[in-house]
Amino acid sequence: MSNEYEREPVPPEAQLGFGSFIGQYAGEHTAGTELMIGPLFVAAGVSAVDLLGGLLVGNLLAVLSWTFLTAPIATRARLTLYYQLERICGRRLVTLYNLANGLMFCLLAGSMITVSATALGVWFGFAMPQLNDVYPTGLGWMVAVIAMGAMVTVVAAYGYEFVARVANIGVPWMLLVFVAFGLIGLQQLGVTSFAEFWAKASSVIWTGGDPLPGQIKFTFWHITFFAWFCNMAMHIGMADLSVLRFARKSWYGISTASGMFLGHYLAWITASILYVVQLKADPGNTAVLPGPLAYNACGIAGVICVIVAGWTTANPTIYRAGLAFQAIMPRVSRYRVTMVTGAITTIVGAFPAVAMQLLDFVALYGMLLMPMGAVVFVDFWLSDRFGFQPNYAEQSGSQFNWAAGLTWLVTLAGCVLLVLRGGVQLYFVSLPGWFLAAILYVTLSRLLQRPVAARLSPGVQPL
Amino acid sequence: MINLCRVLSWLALAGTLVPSVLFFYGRVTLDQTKLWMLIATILWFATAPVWMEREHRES
Repeated sequence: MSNEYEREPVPPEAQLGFGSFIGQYAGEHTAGTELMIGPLFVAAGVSAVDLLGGLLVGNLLAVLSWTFLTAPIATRARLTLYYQLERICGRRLVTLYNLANGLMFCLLAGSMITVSATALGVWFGFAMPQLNDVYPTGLGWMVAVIAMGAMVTVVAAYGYEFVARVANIGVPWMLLVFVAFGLIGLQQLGVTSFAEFWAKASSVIWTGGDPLPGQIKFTFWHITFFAWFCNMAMHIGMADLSVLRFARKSWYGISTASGMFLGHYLAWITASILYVVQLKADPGNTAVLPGPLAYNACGIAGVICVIVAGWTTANPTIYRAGLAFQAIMPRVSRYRVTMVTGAITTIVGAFPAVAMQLLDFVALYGMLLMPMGAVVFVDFWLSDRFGFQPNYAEQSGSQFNWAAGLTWLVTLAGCVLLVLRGGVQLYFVSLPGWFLAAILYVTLSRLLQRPVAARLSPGVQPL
Repeated sequence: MINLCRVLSWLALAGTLVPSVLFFYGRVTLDQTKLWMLIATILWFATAPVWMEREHRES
């Protein structure tokens, strides 16, 4: 749906009902990477209260962010993020944003290919990466990643529509396989009735204590902020303006609860249970390998789930990365850009460091794109109140809105400084970062803007 | 044909979940669970596209 009305508001006849978003978000957030994240929580020594409570609060905050920050702008402006940013920031700054976004998509898709490749390891028995591995583990691993990456890339270049349909078909089945992971894992941990779940949850499954070597300790706040900010680029970062602009009503933002509470609550918890089963069977086996984890629980059906979950989410991610890069090089065909993007992604996938450090990477991804979300929010809601021109680049004919550009750079510099020198962990820094970006954008806009005569793109109403 | 596929798809979804519930309560072995889940998976991907594609085209 995101390829239509790219430079005009979505008209009423193209708007969609609530149900369309429920299915889309449930599918999008039940990805292969969920099978990495759940186990990584266990590796971080999380306790039952922290995990179940933190996920509840964090996912709720994420849903509220979509509902009260993203959807109200999406359903009023009804423009893609890219076009809205272009109007505010100018074409050259949007090019920079596209480059950053495309690179992040490549890294994310690379970790999804890593996940899918672990499924091939179940059948072919090659050496697979361990929890703290950075480099490829051998020829077998490389061949598996290249095979999976080539398949994903070619399909993304030729037949994205086909994969989108397979993804839709797979969603209901995949969700039930995730439930099965949890039930089978619980039984293997000695939970034989729901009445004894809580007692076993805190004493056997998520016992807390020290994290595994190389991991940092996760508390309630880590889980809460991770769950809230892991899709920060989408809600607070405003990327989902492109999706929710099709929503008839602003409150449809609440449909994201399907993705958060099925994908990011249920799937993370069940995946973490499978990892605990593995650790109980062999405390020395700390490798987070979704393929073997799923195979041990559900056999071939579990392995198919890992491949389908990884493949169907890697595909649109590579496709989106290709679109972002193509916007920078509009003369190069989408096919070529997607093939090159897929090659980069495959190389990333061969290095397990990204997947094994997925918690850090996802937090970094949100932090990198968050300042532009703050710019969009402030420009849309607060420009009149603070006396500066909204959509300044469009109004002034500027190719680079320095107020937005400096906001982005200074905010990132501030966040990095807070992490490196201020002792603030990466998972928490984006919250103060958002307020810093908002204040900077207001201040810099008032300082740098010059009076302009009103100009407007054809077909776009003043906001 | 469409209705038959739809019914088989729902059975396949049940077949994906029910074996794990039975395993949880100790009624079947893990190997039996894996086998039934595989059969249900094949059934789902063989039947669901038939009616889901049609619904997609009609929408």
